[in-house]
Amino acid sequence: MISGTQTLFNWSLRSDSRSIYPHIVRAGFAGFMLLAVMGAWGQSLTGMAPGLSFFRWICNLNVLLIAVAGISYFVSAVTEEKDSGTLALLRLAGASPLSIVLSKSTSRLISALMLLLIQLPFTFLAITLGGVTWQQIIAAYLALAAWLCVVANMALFCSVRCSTSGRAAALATAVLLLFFASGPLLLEFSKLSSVSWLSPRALNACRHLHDEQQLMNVTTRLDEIFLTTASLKFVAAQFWRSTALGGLLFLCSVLLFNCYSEPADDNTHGTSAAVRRYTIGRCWKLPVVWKDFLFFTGGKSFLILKVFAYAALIAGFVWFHQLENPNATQWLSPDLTRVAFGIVSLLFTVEMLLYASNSLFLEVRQSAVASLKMLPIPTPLLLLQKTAACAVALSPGLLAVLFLCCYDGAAILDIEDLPGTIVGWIIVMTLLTHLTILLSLYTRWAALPLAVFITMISFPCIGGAAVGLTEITRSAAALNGIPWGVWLGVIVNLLWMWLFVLLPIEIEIVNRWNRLSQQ
Amino acid sequence: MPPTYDANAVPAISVSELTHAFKGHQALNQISFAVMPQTIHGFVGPNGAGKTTTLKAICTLLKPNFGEVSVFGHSVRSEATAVRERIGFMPDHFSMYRQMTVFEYLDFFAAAYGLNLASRDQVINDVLTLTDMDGRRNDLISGLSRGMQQRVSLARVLVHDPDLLLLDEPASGLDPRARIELMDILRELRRMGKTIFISSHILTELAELCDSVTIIDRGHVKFSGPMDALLDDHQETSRFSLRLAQPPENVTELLRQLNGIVSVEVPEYGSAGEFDLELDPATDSNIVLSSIIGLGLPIISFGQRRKQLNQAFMDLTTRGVRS
Repeated sequence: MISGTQTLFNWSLRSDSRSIYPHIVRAGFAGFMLLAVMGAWGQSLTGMAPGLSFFRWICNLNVLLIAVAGISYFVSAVTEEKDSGTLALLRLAGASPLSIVLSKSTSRLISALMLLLIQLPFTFLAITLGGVTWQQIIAAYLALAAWLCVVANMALFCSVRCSTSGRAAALATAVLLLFFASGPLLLEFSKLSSVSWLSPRALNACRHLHDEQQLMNVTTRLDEIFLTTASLKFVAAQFWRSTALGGLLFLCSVLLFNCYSEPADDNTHGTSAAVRRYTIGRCWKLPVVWKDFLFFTGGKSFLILKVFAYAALIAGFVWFHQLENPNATQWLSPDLTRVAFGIVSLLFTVEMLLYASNSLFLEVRQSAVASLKMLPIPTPLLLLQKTAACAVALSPGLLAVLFLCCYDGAAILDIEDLPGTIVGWIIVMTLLTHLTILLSLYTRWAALPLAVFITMISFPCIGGAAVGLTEITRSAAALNGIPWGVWLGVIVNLLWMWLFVLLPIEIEIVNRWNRLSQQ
Repeated sequence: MPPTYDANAVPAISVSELTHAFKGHQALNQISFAVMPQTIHGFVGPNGAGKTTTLKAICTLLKPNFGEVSVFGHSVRSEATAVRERIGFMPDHFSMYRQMTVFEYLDFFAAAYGLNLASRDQVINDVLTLTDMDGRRNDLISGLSRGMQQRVSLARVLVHDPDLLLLDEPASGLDPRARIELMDILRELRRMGKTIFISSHILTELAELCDSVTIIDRGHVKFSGPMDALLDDHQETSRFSLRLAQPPENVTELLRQLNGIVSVEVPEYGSAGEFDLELDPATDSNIVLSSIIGLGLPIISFGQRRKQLNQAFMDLTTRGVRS
């Protein structure tokens, strides 16, 4: 068992160390840290405790990156073998569930821990900037390591449980969203003492569960670390609970491995020709849209399921509002509308990013690039058709977002800065999806966390330029008596963004796709 | 019977001085050959010889560093779209969308080639009949055997009725029955007027199937021309094969004493009663045959010994491990 584990582990580490991309990512991360430290130093000339704000920002970025890595990078540890049909070969070679799970997950965990380790020397520089102590840094990184442990093992469990990477990613996303949403939801439920049919015991249970959730929540722990300077413990309940839960999930992954090691069932649309005539039908005039909508995004049945799921989510908020305020005249209060909008938008964004990271990547994995390239469809048009298929699949989420905007737009959007909100959202989303698609053609599974990281560090630059351009356009429009100068600024920004940022990425996507077709 | 073709016809494939290098490795070095329409052309070479690179250059996936490739007179560089309309390419690692049924898979590719709904039905029925997959049209691709998937892949390249089929190792991984059936389908396609350019390692089957052949080794063409020209090596014209039923013990001595026979050998892996005769080049083989009949030996067969394709391949290609 040990030699098998060691062989698999060595192979994983060797392939990681031989590939140039992980090293580029680490070097890029180190460079970014250096720039961030320099930025914080510049801030120290004008602000208070720049070290703490720099460190807080880095920690929050890490929490987000670990979560995103959970739903994209860690989640494929076992499913990538199922997807390529090599899991049975590993079993035939005598690899036990423990050795497979250990070797496949540990190499990924080490790659992620390396990224955390790279940051340490730079974050210690934050001490010299003021506002943060070395004890806070150690405690924060221990909290992040524990968070990494629980997320990685939760994703590993999803990877063992599910038959494909897509399903595992969906399950991991749902678990993470539920974890973060459960805190405020349980807190709100525990306050519903006016509802007669909710017993005090149930309310107490909600309160207790909320407290437990807070004890495990990395953001709560980090807030505690940032606020505490004296008598700070290096390890708190969050560390022990997360580590224990991570270990438990790892154990479950090993124990349940054999139960769920069957290859994916390709028969998601039924076997009966009559049923398939309804669920799949004949190929559309836009064949790639048809193929991707039905065989990549889940097709009509999954679309209907999503419509019901989004409707149920909004109905849940309405029910909660009616429960809290039995005599309310509105369906939803402005606060709850904002929360519902946030959750629906988050789901919509995650769904969009998962499609972006897998749409082209799966064609590469299936060695289908050359066959698609030989079709009399130009590559840009083919990629547009793939985008259109994802757009159709995203329509329930988009409809839910629009529905909430139409219901109470004033509560959701900052009407004062509507153009800024629109430009900001479009810039972030288009940049993120473009980067995710491009990176998915280079890396195996880490496209999504990398894209989030690059977007987060590049957004201040792009956002600054956008704000500046909007101001210039508005002033120029005002000088020439042109009304709607702000909206002119929006158009200028979108044009600029497309021309100098998105178009080069799109060209590189097409070039990379063409290069892959030759391999 | 191989078809006859007009020597002045535009070649289905014309490769001239094709050169390509990958990261310093010279994959192809000024290779030139031509494939005439409505023929089956074998493309043979050891691993790493440059077969797949050549195929990719022909099917427009790869832009070569130097040289010209044209398909039915269309340059692959400047008229890639026109070339793609006339070719069907089946790569060695062909992709299958496993969640689709056979019909859905073919429907997708037919629609991608712009066929309308009515003609799609007709075309899919035709290619399924041709590949003998009619009864499996509603089966999931994931449930098909490797041989069946190969047939579906072949059906896929036929949906837009291409004039030229480029097949990269189509018989690899197939059992003997599936290989023989595939070869029958290819013969039928030639009869229908298709040109087939086939890369394969199974030399015995290529020798039976192909009208012409190109042998490539380490990026150089070692031979290109009709299969007969390769096999009818001049060195072999004086070697004959004789097979006798129940030959007497001293048959070797008897044969050696005949005029015109230089040597008699028993082939190492030959059949019972089989002998290799080397004749004097100046002697008419008919006279030798008459002499053998005159000895009263029971002759089963007598004929000029042809070189086997694998022998020709071994003679032309260099031994050793390729980088």
